[in-house]
Amino acid sequence: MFGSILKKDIKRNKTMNIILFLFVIIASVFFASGLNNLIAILNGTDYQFKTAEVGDYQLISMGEGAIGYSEDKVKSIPEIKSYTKETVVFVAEGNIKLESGKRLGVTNAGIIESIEGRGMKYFDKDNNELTSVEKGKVLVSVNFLTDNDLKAGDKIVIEKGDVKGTYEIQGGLKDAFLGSKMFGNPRFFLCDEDFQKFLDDEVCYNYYGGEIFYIHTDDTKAVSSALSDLDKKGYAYPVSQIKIAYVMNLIVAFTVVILSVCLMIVSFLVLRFTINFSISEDFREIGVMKAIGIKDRKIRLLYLAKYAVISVIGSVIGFFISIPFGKLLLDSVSSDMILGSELGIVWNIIGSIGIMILVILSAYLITGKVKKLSPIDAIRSGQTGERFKKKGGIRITKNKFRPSFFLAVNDILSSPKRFVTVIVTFSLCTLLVLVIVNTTNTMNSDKLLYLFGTEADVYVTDTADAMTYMNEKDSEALKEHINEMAKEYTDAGMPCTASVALTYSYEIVYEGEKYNYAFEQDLNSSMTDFRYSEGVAPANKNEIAITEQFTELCGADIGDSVTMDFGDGPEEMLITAKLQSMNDLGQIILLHNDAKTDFSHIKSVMQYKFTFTDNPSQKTIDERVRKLKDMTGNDKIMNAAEYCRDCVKVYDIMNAVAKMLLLIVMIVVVLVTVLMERSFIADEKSEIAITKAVGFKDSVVIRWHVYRFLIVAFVAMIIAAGLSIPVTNLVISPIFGMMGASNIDYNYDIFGSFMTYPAIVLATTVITAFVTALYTKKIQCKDTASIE
Amino acid sequence: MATVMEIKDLCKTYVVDKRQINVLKNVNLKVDEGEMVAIMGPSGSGKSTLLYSISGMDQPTSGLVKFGGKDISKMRGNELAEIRLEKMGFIFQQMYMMKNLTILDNILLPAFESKNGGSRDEKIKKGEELMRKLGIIDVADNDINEVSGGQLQRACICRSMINSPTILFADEPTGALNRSSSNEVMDELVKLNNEGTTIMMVTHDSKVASRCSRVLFIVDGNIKGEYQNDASLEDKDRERRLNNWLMDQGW
Repeated sequence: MFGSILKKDIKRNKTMNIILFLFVIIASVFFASGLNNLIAILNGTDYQFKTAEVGDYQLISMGEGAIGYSEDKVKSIPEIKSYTKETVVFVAEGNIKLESGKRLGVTNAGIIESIEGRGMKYFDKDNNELTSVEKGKVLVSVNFLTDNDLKAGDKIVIEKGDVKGTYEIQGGLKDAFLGSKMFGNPRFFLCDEDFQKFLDDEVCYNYYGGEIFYIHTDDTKAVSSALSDLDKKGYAYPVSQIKIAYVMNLIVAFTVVILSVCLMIVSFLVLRFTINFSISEDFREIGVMKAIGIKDRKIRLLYLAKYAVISVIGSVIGFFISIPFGKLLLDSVSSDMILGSELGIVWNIIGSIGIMILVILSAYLITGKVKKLSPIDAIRSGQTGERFKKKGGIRITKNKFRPSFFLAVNDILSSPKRFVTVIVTFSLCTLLVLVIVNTTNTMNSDKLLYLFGTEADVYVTDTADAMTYMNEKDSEALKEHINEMAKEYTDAGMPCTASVALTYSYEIVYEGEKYNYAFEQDLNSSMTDFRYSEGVAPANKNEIAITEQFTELCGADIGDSVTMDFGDGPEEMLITAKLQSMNDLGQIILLHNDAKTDFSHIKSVMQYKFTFTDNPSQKTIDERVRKLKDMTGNDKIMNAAEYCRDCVKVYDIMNAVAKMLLLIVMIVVVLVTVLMERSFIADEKSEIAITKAVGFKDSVVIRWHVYRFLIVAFVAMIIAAGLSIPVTNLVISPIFGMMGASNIDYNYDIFGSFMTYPAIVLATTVITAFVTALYTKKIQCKDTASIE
Repeated sequence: MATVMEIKDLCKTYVVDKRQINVLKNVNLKVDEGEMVAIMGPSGSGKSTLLYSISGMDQPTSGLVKFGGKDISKMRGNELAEIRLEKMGFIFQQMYMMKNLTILDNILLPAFESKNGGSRDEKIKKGEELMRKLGIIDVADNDINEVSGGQLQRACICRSMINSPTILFADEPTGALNRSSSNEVMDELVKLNNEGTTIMMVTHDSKVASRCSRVLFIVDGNIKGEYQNDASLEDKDRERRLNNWLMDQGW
């Protein structure tokens, strides 16, 4: 008998059962994929470094005679437990071309090596380990492929020394050490035989050869100190620093975490709503069964069986959809990271089972009312007592609303609980989009400029011509070069002054501990052009400004002195200020312009900067940027906002993620609106029929239903817009903080993004509610006769 | 008396499981202005279907339903809604009301949707007057679950009358009420009829039917007989005579 009651119920309550079933699937997809992605991203870099077997400390030796230079030193350090080594050849822009001869962009030094000689693990886009490359083929870092619009099967030419080879791209590789956008060192893995040709070339071996050591140790500080006097050492990276290089990736990846958490909350809310709704629909039957003497336990079991069947089937379907859905989300934000977790899809299974339990538990708790209710109470849809609670709506006599709008407002005010789910869901979703859009807008403005140097009108980041001056003892020739450039541009009708930002590598001593650290010096800029968070700008050549990271490293602070040697013997340098910088991941010390730097310690020429002296408008600056590109043939000339975007690296991904999020939010909004509106229609069949019976047109009923969603969505948008500013600060600032940037001045586009994105969500809601509400046309006034 | 409603060869057929069920078979009927007509008959005879088909609540399969000189059987959607709003009132056995509105707001809702009937204040005044007339003004601000069944049905009558309809349809208006509430509701309907409103109602109750001017007896989808109540008789005599007639019809 119960079987047949159940069968009939599934048929009769088809709409609500289907709605619940769909919500269970959606909840299972969101919860399962969300949980897996959450774990994967929270594991983040730790999982990636462990999986790829990155060392605790990385040492890159480069420069003349670098191959074989550092290994003895590495072997001699007792704190080093073990190490692996890769022999490589460094290449620069111009060494990598397409077959057509077109140069491919290599922002920082590229690295050629053999896959057989790898010192850590590398992975393909699906996170499968790469172990071989066919002869004549090459594996290339994924970001290099993306940046240059290349794909597997394309052919590239690598030329260094006297060796020139054409290689077909076998595929992309994920490089946990140097693969992040912040490092931007592309790797080119050849087979042993192909790579040997480069090593056999004398120029390649002696001048461009190098070694990368992956060092495993428990004491990175000791290793760092021991290696600080290794002058052939190009770069040294403790794993903590590599982690920071992925912070920008993590900002992007964290959008998935936030999205996942949002989707989980949404799933929970809508599920709770639907189960409550669905069971309240069943109360009448429960009452009848009680009235004819069926025991509470059996009634409860009957409904639990129904919800169990729906939840099991829905969760299983949701689980299978959650795997590609989760992967899609994760891939879209972390193409160059090896994200995952030890347990993999077990998290999806746990998520789906969680939803299954949640549904059954909710059904169990809600059907618990069965016990408490008398048959007649149950028939009265679970309300107890003859007189129910007074509704808290508005009065038609006390306002000027048209009936459709009045009914909508009154419904919301009378039963706010019913609409809380929609408000919370839409607020959360829109808030998420706005937080990401605020971050993206900030990245696309000059608001972060101070983190990458001083303000200027034009930035030139392709400074390859500066290499000519690197053999000079000091910076005088380079200064002359930029002044000449400024004169040339002035003569061309663009009066300007020029400056150049340089980085050096020097040993620094504080309280007896030695550190090899990066230093920045801006030639031709004023020290007061930098933005300091504390203290005063260095005023003399023996004064420096440090970042918070340096204080964290060694404890030195404003007022302390460190010891440096510029070649004339040790000098005491006084720390006068702290600044925020994202150059060299914040691990940089600012030198005074007059500090006696030596080009033998130069690391890079970061950029030339030009400031126009005739105070041009932004439009004129942009025109001049275009003109300069034409004049010089240099594509890497940009205005302040473009430069900022270039430095942040992940703007394009963030922008794409913001759009993807908007799309997902729109899908969620459509799903929630359709399913909720269908639930409302099912619940309000009698009211719809009665309004029609008293002469309301279909259009009035549709407007009534659409207005409800319009009002709650509008409220949700206001909440989201209001919360987005504090939430952006709360969520995004700590991530910038990890890179040394605090007190971020976000670019809130009040009349752009704050209007556009909520308007899109609002429009989606209204259109969806309208299309769904068309179903009310099917309810006719004669249906009043068939309503129980 | 002018004819308010004229029904010719009205048929209504349902198809259930590929089986054709003819619920109404060529019904012919005229209702004059100011009449109060009761439709009686055994369960399943087609009483409610007739009421719904002639009131524009349902579409007849064939035939003509002339109301105010226009054939409403061919009308659809908005046209019918307009007529229901402005010219017809409807009372159901179950006292359907909007659950989130107070009694007065429920009554005023059709008035505010209508473009006729004066200003908002005039409409509010009219709603209150109707409530006062039907003795429920005290519950104007109550929620629908705070009043008795009789009060609720009287509120339904107020709602049906708010736009001053030409005709009032009632489907067993006292069916869900006890005897005393039933009498109260019938008193109000008779009063409205005496004031000129044409009323057509379906009822099982001969006591209720005896208060109407004319009784139609419907069997198997067709009007088998008509009976004119004698208004000059006492209530009890009228009811007795009607019962006798109904027994003759096979009731």
